Amino acid sequence: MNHVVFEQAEILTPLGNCSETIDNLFHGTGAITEGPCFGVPVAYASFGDTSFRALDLCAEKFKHEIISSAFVPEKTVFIYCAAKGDIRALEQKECTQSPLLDEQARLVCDVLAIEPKRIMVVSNACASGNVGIELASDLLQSGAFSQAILFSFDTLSRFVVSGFHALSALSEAGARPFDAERDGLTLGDGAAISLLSYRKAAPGDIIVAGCGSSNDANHRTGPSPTGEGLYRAAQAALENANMLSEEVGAIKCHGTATEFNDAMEAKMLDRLFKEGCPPAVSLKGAIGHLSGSSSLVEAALSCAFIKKRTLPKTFGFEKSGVEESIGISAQPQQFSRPSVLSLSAGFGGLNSAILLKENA
Amino acid sequence: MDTFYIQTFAALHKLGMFSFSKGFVPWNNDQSGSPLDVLRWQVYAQPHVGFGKLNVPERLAFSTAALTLNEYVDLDPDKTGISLGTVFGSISTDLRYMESVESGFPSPAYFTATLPSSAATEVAIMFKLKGPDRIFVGNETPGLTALENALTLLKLNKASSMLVLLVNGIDRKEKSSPFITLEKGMSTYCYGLLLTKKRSNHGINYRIELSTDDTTLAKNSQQRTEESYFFDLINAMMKKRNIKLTYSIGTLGGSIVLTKER
Repeated sequence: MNHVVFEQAEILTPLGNCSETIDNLFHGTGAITEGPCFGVPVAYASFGDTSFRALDLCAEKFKHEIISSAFVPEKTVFIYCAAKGDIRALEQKECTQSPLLDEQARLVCDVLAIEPKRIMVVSNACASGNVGIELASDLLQSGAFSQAILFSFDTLSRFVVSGFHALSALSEAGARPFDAERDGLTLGDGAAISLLSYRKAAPGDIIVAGCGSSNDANHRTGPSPTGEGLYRAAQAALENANMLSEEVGAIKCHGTATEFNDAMEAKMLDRLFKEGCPPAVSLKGAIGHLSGSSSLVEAALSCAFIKKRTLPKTFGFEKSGVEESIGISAQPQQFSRPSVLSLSAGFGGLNSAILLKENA
Repeated sequence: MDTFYIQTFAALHKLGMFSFSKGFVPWNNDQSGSPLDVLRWQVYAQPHVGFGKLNVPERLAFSTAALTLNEYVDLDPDKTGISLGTVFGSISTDLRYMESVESGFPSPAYFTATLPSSAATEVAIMFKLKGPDRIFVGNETPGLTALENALTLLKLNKASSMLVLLVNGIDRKEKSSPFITLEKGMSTYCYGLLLTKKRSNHGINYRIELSTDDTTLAKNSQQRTEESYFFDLINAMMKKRNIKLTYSIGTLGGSIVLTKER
């Protein structure tokens, strides 16, 4: 039986590449720094080298990371997942980089020196990475392609920071997911590339066991207060994986640290895991909210957590600020079942859940 | 082999409005002949206080969705998703929002509408559609990608019906933007198709088959725009005809067959 296999992934976060980010997370080192950020008095999480906010330079960094000898361009779909992508051109009139996402996708392929059979751009706000994974899974299982390369990119900019600040969504001191003192999210730089394929999985391979998505149909910026939409996305992912909630090893929450997101997510987790939540983590207190790239970055990190059977602590969390008892902790947590449910939600009520699992 | 059906459709086109429920309605004399001038009452019988504030892709998508879903009673909103293809996303709003940032007063309303997904989520909110949504952005084939994606989601039983929308439109004043080439910015339109996996007693039950076939590219030397294929599909259904289209756009080729079931 074939599975969608998460073959390779590399990321770039404010804590470095994948191995550096993992090391930092487990050594208790976060990346959130004090503002101002683009003149706005809010905390932020920046790439160590801000030149990687340029799409071409970021893609160049990934050039030799992912394309293995097994890469078969004529059977590959390239999926660019971004909420806004590289928008320097909107801010800097002299910048030649197009703000149009399809042109950015072609630029990335040129830099990576790949000619895939098909290029797609999926833009589901901050859930773009997870939705890209689900899209890739659907396409691979349909037989249309045998490989999928996903590339995700969204970075700090005056455009985005000003917008979230105008919505009063940003924290001055830094994101504290699920904490009693949480007062908003922290934006960060992020990019990721991953290679998925459809084949017979070997023991130890990480597979995309299930995916689900839904819309709250509720509000442009606010989530459903009950978490109904994210609950349905998670339920769909479980059904797609043919798994029960009690078989889930751990949860990688969306966990933005806004009052409304964390409250709704706690409600939906409490409802989904009736017998008690497994260990859970939000990464946004450590690396920030990486917008459209957050869920592909966090999926790659979730694969590493499955291998380690351990979640890092939730940075910024001290005392629970949600009514429900969920598995968030200020300490690293071990888990035994080798699977992670990775949740993501975006503006407009776009919810997505993917279930990653180590093949037995 | 799975069978899929188109149950209703609509289009906002330079000639006027096409829909299953209302037929063809030309633009009024005081309208400029552009879908940008569509009025709320022309497409939606109920009040919509925010209609005037919708940006171009949102207004086009909402209006087309309203015409598509109007009078169709077999819809299960909880299991209906949206597959939206858009050429520009929200470039006009991006530019307007950036102007507000530069003025020192960033507009939260503009900011939330800068996402290419905002047109789909506006439709989801207004019509309470809670199924899976996917938003595709691209120059050549966002609509065909959205159509293909909708069929895949139906095949995998991830939705009972899918609303496919193809949206292209920018504000008139932004046509001079350096980011918008003439080739991309020429037309303003929106097409909507409601697809199901089951027959309906209240829809048109046009069977749809979509296939991709690379050999089509070599055969078709004359390339057409994606919009022209969508127009042909709508036109055939308006005239209650069957149609087979062989398409060739950029690197994508294949065929679409619509067959009216009796």
